[in-house]
Amino acid sequence: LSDTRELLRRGVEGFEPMPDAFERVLRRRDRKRRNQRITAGVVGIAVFVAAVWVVTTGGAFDRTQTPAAPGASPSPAPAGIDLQELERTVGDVTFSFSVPITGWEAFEGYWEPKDAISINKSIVGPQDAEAMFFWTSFPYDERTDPCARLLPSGTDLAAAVATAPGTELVEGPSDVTVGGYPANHVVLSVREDLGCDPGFFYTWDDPAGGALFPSTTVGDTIRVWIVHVDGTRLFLEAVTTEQADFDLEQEIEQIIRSIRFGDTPTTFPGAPQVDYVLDLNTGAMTPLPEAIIRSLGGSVLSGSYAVSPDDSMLAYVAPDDDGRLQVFVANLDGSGIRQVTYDPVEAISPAWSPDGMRIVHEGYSSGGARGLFVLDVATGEATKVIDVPKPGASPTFTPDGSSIVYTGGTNQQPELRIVPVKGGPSSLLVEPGGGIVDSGNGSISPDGSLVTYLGGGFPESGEVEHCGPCRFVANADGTGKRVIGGWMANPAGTWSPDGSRIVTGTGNPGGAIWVIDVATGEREQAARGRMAIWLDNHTLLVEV
Amino acid sequence: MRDVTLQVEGQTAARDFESFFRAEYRSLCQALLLLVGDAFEAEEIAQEAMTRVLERWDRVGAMDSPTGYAYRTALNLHRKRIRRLAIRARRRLAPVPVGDIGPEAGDRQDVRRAVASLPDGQRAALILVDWLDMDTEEAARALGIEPASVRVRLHRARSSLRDALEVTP
Repeated sequence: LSDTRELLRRGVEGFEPMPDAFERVLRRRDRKRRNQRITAGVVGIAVFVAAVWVVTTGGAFDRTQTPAAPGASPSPAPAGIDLQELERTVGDVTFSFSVPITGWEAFEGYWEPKDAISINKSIVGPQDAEAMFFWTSFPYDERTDPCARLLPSGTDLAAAVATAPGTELVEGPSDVTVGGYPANHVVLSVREDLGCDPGFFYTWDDPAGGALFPSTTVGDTIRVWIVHVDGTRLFLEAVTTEQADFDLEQEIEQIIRSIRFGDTPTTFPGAPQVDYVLDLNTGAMTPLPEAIIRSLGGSVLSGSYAVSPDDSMLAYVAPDDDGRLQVFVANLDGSGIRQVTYDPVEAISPAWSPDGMRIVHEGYSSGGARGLFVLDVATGEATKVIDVPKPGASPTFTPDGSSIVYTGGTNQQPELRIVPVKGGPSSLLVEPGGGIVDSGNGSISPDGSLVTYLGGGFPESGEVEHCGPCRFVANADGTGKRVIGGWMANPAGTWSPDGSRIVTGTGNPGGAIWVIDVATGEREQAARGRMAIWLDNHTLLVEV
Repeated sequence: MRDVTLQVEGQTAARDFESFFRAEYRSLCQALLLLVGDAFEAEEIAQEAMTRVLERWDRVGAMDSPTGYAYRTALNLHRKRIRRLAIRARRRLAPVPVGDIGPEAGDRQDVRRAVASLPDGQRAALILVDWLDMDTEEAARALGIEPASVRVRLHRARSSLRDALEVTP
């Protein structure tokens, strides 16, 4: 044993863990918690996983190069498709792309920081992907994988296509541009079951090897782009199945057209890099007072603002001295900051009562059960209203202050529910129906007549073929629902005070902040950021 | 509203986890380095495993062996990753040509290559027992197999490793 141990010791000689590993773990935990919150209440609907394959063949990516046309500016989104801007770095290459937000989610594999990225969208769960994309440079070990025998050894796309087993050429190979860089493109159709899981169809002569790994089956369509970015080859593959009966092609094309290389700003030009107030009339952008920014503690989980009805105070989430998220309040000028919750685990998602005396938030009782609490701001006394087992309840008061609207149900099937402030049983606020199977992330308009929420499924109305999910506006009793556009929202500030507009975001930095006219459905991208709330009828508070 | 007792317990728990992390992280990374052969991947898995431990620290911290839980989590992550990606990510541990082995025995890359050339099960058993000093029962629990199977794998792994590196027992 000692001999073996000595041998093994030689194997780890010189290895030093990252000095900031502990901080990385804390950040990773925070990111996961945030993602859980963002996705809670949203049912996954159709899978569309996308991937770009990056193989570094030498030479650093030149970030200073100006890509040639076409693609000087991103293509506009097709009608009905809202976009979310994502940026990723693989190796030394940074690039951004826009993802249709309806039903898509970024997949944060733990291997992502090094080599691979995927995004996905599902109507039937992640095990039945309808399409795929990847970013990776993982090598492929031909020694152990039974599919290795299927791999061609082509050095270019044409050769790879010619030798790709079980596929038929549908389009190309052709020369195109992606993000202003030259690329080769081909479309293949899978004509026979490759007999392996996964059914690889292509690799190249890189010494490290490499293969795309979606499990292709008969009827799949495979779209391939190889982009030549200086010394780097980016390999993009999108696979769609026969079940992909809604217009995925349009979405795939949109993603490809949106790819840009180099760092992408996460805010509009000239916008502050900290949370700010945006005057929609004048375009003026004013950073929040420094005292408030400082109190956010730099945590990505901070924010989640709510403004008091008299427009004088903010409630928001920030870490306390022990790093636990708590609710704080402050005057809009940054004075009077004080912590108002002392939750044993965390207190999040604050929203003011219409009389400005109370704040509802998610939190934990001393016994550890998650629930919704109503806090008397003056006394600090908190009362638990109802248990909610999962995060993402995003509570708000009804306009009359008598009840709380929140997202209940399960992660798989969220439900917009309502419960009296004084306690008691909750009830379903929105009965989805009409092909929509769930509802959540909702709030009632200031006059109490309308409700907005996220819902997923296949609307029988035919407004869109598929919601994964869509944002709806309906009468307060759930009737008369219609797709309004936009995506996630902070229920504490979704509606403009006059009820004429709503604001939505994506929850991700750099995401599109949409202002949507409720009556007409017209919308405008007002900013980039994680989320925004209304301060008054022409002013937003933007979380970057 | 403020629950002083719980707050103090929470602070203690946070400090407990940090102490645990500082004590165990390096060893976990080293074991994973031997297992996956790539330092970056080893740290990726180690950090994800530690994140999961942190998320459950109120429960894991009270276990007899939080360390065992961390290693089991890391091993599961490693296995899951292989299943999910269905690839073998061994850029630096590609099959080693025979001629590369003998003259450079002792070099850490050769050791890593030799370890990597072992079948998955043998490699995991070797690392758990010979590197992490788990007994075979403990390793069996981590791997989800019988202790006898661990011993068989261990024997074969040691033999293969010595042969590969031309070490005389």
